[in-house]
Amino acid sequence: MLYTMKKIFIFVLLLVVSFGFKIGDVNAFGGCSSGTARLTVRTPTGNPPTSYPVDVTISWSTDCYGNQVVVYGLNSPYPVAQDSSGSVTHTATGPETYTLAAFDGPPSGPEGICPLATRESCSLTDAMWSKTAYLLDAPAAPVVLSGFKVNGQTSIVAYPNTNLSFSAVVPSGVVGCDLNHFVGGNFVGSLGGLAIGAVGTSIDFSSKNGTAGSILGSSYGGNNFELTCASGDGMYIVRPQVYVDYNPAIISTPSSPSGLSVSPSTCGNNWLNLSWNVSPAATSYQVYRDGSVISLSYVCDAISCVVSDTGLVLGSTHSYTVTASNAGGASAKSSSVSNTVASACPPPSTCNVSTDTNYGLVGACAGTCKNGYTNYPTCTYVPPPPPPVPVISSFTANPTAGQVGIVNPGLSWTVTNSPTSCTAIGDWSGSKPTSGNNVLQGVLNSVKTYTFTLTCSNGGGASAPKSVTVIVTAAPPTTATITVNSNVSTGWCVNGGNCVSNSTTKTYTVTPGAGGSSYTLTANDLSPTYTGPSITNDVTGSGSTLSLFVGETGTFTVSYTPVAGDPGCQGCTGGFNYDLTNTGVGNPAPGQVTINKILKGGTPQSVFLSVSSGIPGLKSSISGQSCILGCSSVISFIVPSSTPDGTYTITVTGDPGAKTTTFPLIVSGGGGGNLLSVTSCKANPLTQAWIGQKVTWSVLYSGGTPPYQFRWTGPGMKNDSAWLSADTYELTYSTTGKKSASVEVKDSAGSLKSVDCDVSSIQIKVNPAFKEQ
Amino acid sequence: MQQQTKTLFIIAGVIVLVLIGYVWYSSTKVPSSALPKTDTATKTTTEVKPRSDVTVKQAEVSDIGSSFKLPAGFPATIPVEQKSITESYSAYYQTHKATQYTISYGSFKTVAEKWDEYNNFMTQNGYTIPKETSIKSKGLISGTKGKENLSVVIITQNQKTVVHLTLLKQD
Repeated sequence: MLYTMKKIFIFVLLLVVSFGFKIGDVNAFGGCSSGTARLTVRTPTGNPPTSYPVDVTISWSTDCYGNQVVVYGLNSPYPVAQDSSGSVTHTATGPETYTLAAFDGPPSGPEGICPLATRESCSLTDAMWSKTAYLLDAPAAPVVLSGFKVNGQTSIVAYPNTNLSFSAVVPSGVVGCDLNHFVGGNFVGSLGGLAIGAVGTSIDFSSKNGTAGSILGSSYGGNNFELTCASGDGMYIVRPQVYVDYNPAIISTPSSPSGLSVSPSTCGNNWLNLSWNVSPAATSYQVYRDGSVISLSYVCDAISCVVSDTGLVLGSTHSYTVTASNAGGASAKSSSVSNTVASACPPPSTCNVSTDTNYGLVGACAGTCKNGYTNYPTCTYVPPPPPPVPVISSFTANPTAGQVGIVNPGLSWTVTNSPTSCTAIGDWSGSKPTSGNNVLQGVLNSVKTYTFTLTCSNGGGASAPKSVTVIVTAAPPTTATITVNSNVSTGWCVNGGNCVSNSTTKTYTVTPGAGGSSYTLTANDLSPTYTGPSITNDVTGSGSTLSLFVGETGTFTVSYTPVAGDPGCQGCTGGFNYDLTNTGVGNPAPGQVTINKILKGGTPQSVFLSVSSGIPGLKSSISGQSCILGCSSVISFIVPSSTPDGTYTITVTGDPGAKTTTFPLIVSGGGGGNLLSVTSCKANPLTQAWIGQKVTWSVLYSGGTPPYQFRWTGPGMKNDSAWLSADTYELTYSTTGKKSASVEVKDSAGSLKSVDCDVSSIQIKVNPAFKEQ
Repeated sequence: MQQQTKTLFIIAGVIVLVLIGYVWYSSTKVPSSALPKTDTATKTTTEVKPRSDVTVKQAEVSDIGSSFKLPAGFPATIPVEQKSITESYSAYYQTHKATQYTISYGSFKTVAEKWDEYNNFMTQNGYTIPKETSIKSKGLISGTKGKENLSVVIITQNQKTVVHLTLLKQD
C-alpha cells in the first residue's frame, strides 16, 4: 500500500512539474518575441506568382498570446485575424502587403496601449514589433519600345543647330522615361525625364531638348540617344536602345547637282524628262524651269535623280536648273540645260476606220479617227475583223440516265465569244437561248439514248456542235409470268383462283411481292378417264408450287395418263379415237364438202360435227351426223350474198374429242349463189366430124366474177398453157379417132374450175366424099 | 413310312416358313385404312430437274403411315396436320437467297374451317395479310411477316379438303 501510494505520488508530482514547467516556460523566457515570429506568403505558383488573380495563403506563427497578435493585409484597412498563429487564404488580384504585429500586454490581463476593441485603429508604431511580408508583383511581360524615332526617322544625319524631336510609342506598364545622350558610347548627360500620359501615346521630347545646337554644338562624333523607361512596379527597366547618328563630316551645304539633262518624249507627249546626278549630303533638290521654282516629285537612287515636267505646251522650249539642299542650306544652281517639248504627231497615212471612232465610214474618210487626227490624207476601209466563232464551253445534261416515263433531264450550256443565236438538233430542235441553265426537256417516253446537240453562231460563223446524251432505260419489271400447259383439256386454278374450266394452256401475268410470291396449281381430277394429274414445274421440278420473283417466268406442266378403253379418253391407246379429214369444197358438188370420220381406235361411235367460220350468216347443213365411225358426212354451204369476196377458213369440229379439220372456202362474185361453176364442155359437131372439118369446142359455165379466161388442152390443140379470153376453141383435126378436150375456167376473183369433155368427145372420120386425085 | 415322315417334315417346314413370312409381312404392312384419305391425283409426281439456281430437298417419309415429314427448317409453329402430308419439300433459290417450304396435306376439316385456322394463326402471329390475298370463298390466304411470305391454298378435291401451304422465306 505504501509502495502504491508512493508511486501515485511520484506520478502526480511529475505531472505537476511538467505542467508547471510548460507554463513557466513562457514566462521564463518573456514570450512574444519577434525572433520566433514567422509570417509567410505562398501561392500555388510561388511568390511572385506567374499571374494574377491568384489564391494566396498567409500563415503566421508566434509564441505570443492570441490576443497579442494581429494580422493586417488582404487589402483591408482592418485587422483580418488575431491569433498567435494561423493562416488566411484569399484571392489576390495584384501585389499585396501583409503585416504581423504584436502588441504589448500581460499574458492574460489588460491589453496595453492598444486594446483589442479599438485595435483596428491602432498604429503599428504602438506595436512591440511587426513583420511585413509581400505578395510580389508578377513578372511583367517584356516591354518593347517601338517607334523610337528622331525627327520621324530611325536615324538621321544631323548638323549643328539641327532641332531634334524624339518620339516613341509607350507600351502598357511604363510610367516614365528618361532620354540620355551618349557620344562615342560615353554618357554625356540626360535630356531629362518625361512622365507618361496615356498609355500608347507618343512621347514628344522636343520641348525638353530645345535646340540640338545646345546639345550637339560641342559633340562632334557619333551621337547616340537612349530611351530608358521604368515600369509601374518601381523597378527600372532598361529598354532596347535606339540611336540617333550624328555625322559631323557633313556640315556644309551640298555641291551643285551635276549631269543635269533634259529630253523630250515621243511625239504628242507634253512633257520633258529631267535627270541629274545625286549631290553628296543633299537631302533635297529644287528644280527651276525658266528660272522659276517648280514643284516636282523627283525620285532618286544612290546615283541619280529623275523627274518629268508635265503639262507643257507641245513644241515649247524650256530651260532647267537644279539646286541641292541639306540642313546646311542650298547649293548653287546647276548649269542650265534646255530642250523642246515634243511636237504633235503627224497624221497617220491610213485611218483604220475599223478600229477608229468612224467605224463604218467607207470612202470619204471624213470625220475623226480614234487618235484624234482629222482629214487624214488617205483612207482605207478595213472591214471589221469577224468576231471569233462561238465556242460551246459547257453543255451538260442532268441526269444523264433514267427510267422511261420518269426521267426529265435538264440541259445547261454556256457559250463563249458572244454568240447571237443557238440552234438545237437531234432529239430537240428549234432556236435556243445563247445560254441555258437546267432547261427541262420533259419526260422522256422512249427507251433509247437521247442525243441533244447544240450549235451556236455569230457573225464569225457557227460553233462546233456539241452533244450530250441521256440514256433512257426501260422500267424494271414488276410482274412475272406463269404458263400452264396440260396434255389434255382440263380445268385448273392458280392459288385457288384464276381458274379455267376447259383448256390446255394459259399464260398468267402475276405480280410477285418484293420478297417473291408462291403460286400453287391445282388441276381437275379427270378420273376415271385419266389418272393424275401429275403436276411439275420448271422452277422446283416436281411439285405443284413454285415461287417467282419479278421478271421471272415459270411453267406448270399438267400431265394426265389416259385410262385405256375409256370412251372419253383423248388419244388413249385402246380407247375411242378418231380423226377428221375433208375433201375440200366442191366435192361431191359445188358448195359441198365431204368430211371423213376415220376411226383410229376404241369402240366405234358417232361423232357429231359442228361448223365455224368467219362468214357471218353462213348456213350449213350436215348429213350423216349420227353415223357410226368410220363414215362420212357431207356439209352443204349457203353463203350470204353480202359476203365479201375472199378466202375463208372453215373449221369442222367433232364431238367428243374436239378433233378438227379445216379447209378454205373461196367466195367470189357476190355470195354463194354466184360461185364460179363449170358444168360441162362439148364439141360442135357434137359426136362426129370429118377430117378437115372445123370443130368448135365450147364450155358451159356460170357464176364467178367476169371477165373469164380459158385454157384448153387435148389432142390437136396447142396445149401451150396460154389463157384465152374466148370461151370457145376452134380447130380441124387431121387424124381420125375419138377426140376429147379439157378446159380450165378462171374468173377475175381467182376462182379456178375445170371440166373434162369426155362425155362430149367427138369421133373424127374420113369424109367418104373425099377422093384422092 | 420313312417317306411319309420325310414328307411331313417338309410340310411342317413349309408351314413354319409361311407363318414366319406372314408374321413379318403383317408387321411391316400398313393397313390401307390408316392411310390419309387424300387425293391420289395430286400425289402423282414426276421427277423433273429444278431450275439451275434452285436446290430442292424432298422431305423424308415419316414413321406415321406413308405421309411425309415437314421439310427441314420449316417452323414448327405453323399449323400442319402432319399425319396426312402428301407433298413436302423445300427449294432454295440461290439467286434470291430464299427458301420455299411447300407442304400439302389432306384434312377432314372443311375449307372454311381450315381457312379460319390459318387466318387466326396469321393474324395472331403478326402477318400482314393484304385484302386481295385473303379470299375465304376461294380458300386463299396469304400474308407476309418480315422476310416471310406464307401462302395457303385450301381446295376441295374429290370431296376432300386439301391444304397446299407454302412458306417463302428470305435469308
